[in-house]
Amino acid sequence: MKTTDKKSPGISAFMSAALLALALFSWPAFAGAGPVPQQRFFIGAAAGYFYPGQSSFRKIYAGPVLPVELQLGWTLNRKISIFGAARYLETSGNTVLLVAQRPEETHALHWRLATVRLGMNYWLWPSRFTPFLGAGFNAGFYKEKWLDAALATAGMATGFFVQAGGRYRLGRRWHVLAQLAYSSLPAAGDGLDHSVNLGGLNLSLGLTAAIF
Amino acid sequence: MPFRKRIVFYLLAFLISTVFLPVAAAAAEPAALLKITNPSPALSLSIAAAGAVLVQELNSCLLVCAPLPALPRLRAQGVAFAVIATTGENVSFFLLYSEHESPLLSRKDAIHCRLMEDRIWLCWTAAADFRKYLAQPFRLKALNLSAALAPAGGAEALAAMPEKEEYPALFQTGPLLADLAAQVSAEHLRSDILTLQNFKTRYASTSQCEAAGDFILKRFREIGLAAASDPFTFESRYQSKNIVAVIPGKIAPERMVLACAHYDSTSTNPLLSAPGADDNASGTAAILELARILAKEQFNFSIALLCVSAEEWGLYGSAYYADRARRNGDKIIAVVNLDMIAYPGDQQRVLDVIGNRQSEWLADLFIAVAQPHVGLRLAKVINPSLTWSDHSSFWDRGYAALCGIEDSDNPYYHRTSDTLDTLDLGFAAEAVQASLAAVAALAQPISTPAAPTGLQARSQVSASLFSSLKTVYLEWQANREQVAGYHVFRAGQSHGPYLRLTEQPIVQTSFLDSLLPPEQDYYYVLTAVDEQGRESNYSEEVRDDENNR
Repeated sequence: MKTTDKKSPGISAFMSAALLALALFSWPAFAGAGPVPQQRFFIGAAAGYFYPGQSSFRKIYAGPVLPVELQLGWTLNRKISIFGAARYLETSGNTVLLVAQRPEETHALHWRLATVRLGMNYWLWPSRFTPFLGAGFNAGFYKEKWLDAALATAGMATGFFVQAGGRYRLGRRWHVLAQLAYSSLPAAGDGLDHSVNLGGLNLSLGLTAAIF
Repeated sequence: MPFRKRIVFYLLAFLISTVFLPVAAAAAEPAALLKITNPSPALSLSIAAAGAVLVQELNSCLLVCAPLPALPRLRAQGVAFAVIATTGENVSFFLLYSEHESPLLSRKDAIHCRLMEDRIWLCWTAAADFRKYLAQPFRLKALNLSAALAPAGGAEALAAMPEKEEYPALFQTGPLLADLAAQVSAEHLRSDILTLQNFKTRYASTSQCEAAGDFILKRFREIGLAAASDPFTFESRYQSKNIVAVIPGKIAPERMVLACAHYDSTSTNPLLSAPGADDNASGTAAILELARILAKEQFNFSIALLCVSAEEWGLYGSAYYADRARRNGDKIIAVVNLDMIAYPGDQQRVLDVIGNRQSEWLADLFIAVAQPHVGLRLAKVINPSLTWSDHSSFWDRGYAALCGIEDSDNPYYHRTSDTLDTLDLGFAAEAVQASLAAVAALAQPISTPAAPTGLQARSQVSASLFSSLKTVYLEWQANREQVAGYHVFRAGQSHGPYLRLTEQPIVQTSFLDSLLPPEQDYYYVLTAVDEQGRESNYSEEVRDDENNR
């Protein structure tokens, strides 16, 4: 017997809060926009908070999921840049019982997901703070392991993502980057649900540096 | 000659001169039949030393056959005896039971009878047709003067019994015995007695008796037992046959419990009409009923079911069987002979359990085991003079034996009116129940512990994102009897085939079967294992979620 995924009522609230934070964070940039750096390539690193998009995921892996990400980007022009990113997250959880007879039974789990993202950002206006909108494709490589049993499932899922955020220039090369991304990584499940979305909302904060 | 060889030579010479030669001489040379009334404990030694042989033990005396030259030696050893008769060519000796003042109707010149005990006569004659001169009814036992009684039969039989440490479950088989006894059918007894009665006569040496033997053989084989006809010659000119079937033992098949009855009959007109319903179609039907019920069970020891012939002529069939068993060294633990078990009389419902002194343990055991299963009273009778049935042949060969017999005087005994309509088949059925319980207990049913009960199964599935596994929780009730543990079995489909999940019996009464693919249903059974490693039948099967809430 499988459970069905339900839309979490907290997603919209979470997204609203994230966008509000982003707007507040970027507000000073509107007041004092400086010259846009001329370097075309940048690298970045970010860390954040991942909110799984599927309730069964949240039920099994209830603890906080904190991904890290590395980015490499290329600014095509003042408005558009493309980037590639690698994101990694891991967490622990416990199995969920279907039709529980002995509620005390539990099996420890470990979850890893490495995601490669390729996308494009559209920079809304050049200034000290530059908001952007972005989208792209991502591919996730996952592994779920039962720690007390010789049981592990590994696989790959592909999907898309959309994101919004902004960067705040700190100096000639450095920027603070904040972004909120929603990704979709559908995979076939054989546990709690028949289909699993490995994506979700990812709020991250990091630094980028123009390199040349 | 080396010293060791010389010792062996002298020992052999001594044995030949003191044992074998006198016995052989006793058969070949004129000898005397002696009555010894006050046997001392050392008598057997004196008898052997004198080259005499013990022929018959009676309640108050012993009958000893001694070569004439040995008589002075016996006297010299202080043995007090009376010479009853001297042997001669073609002279046969019989022990005769007769309630008449004189057992002979006529031919007192050719048939010699001397009273040995109350109603027990020693008779000898060269007349082959002497029976027709005996006052009816009578009981006969032919004496074999050349074969000494085997000594200390009871003790020997006891030695053949298993050590209690070896088989601690000995006789602790009450529920099983009750189940077996409950299967005894008076209707089966009636049917078999009627069939045997319908042979008109089963007088040994007649074709009808042979046909009755064939019927018994067929019945054994129909039951599914390995059975055989065992022909023998008696009184040098008559042929008959014993019929024997064996339920092989599983642990020690060479050890055997023997249940027997004679199927031949006699009457005042034996060649034409001897229905012998009580004597002894009843005992024969009992043996067939034992075969029917016991053949379905398994025992540690073998059970031989023996129907002998020529009992009425003088216990020839059983003597033939017992002689050969002794020569072959057969390990017969005990013999239960059933002879006349269907006429309880008007007042009492008593089955006598007759034994000699060496078989007293067997009579005690029989009563202890059987009495709880029957309403009739089992009465122990220890009397070596009661030699009038086939148990006596086994006594003579040193085996522990008893006779189950009605404690009443059947007025139709050895008459043409001994028919089914005079019998009480309810009494007969109880006698068979008692015998069956005793025989089964002696043979030791492979009394596996009872199958566990109360097995309950609950299952649940643990799920992650990509996997799920089923866990099954089993619980059951502990067996009432002491067991070493339990084995758990699982099958992917109802009623197996089952895979045993436990390497060793587990002591606890619960079991966790985990990490199972969840899509499938699983079925479980248990067995209990006792301290001897004997395993019960499967418990009732449960599906893994059968008791889910």
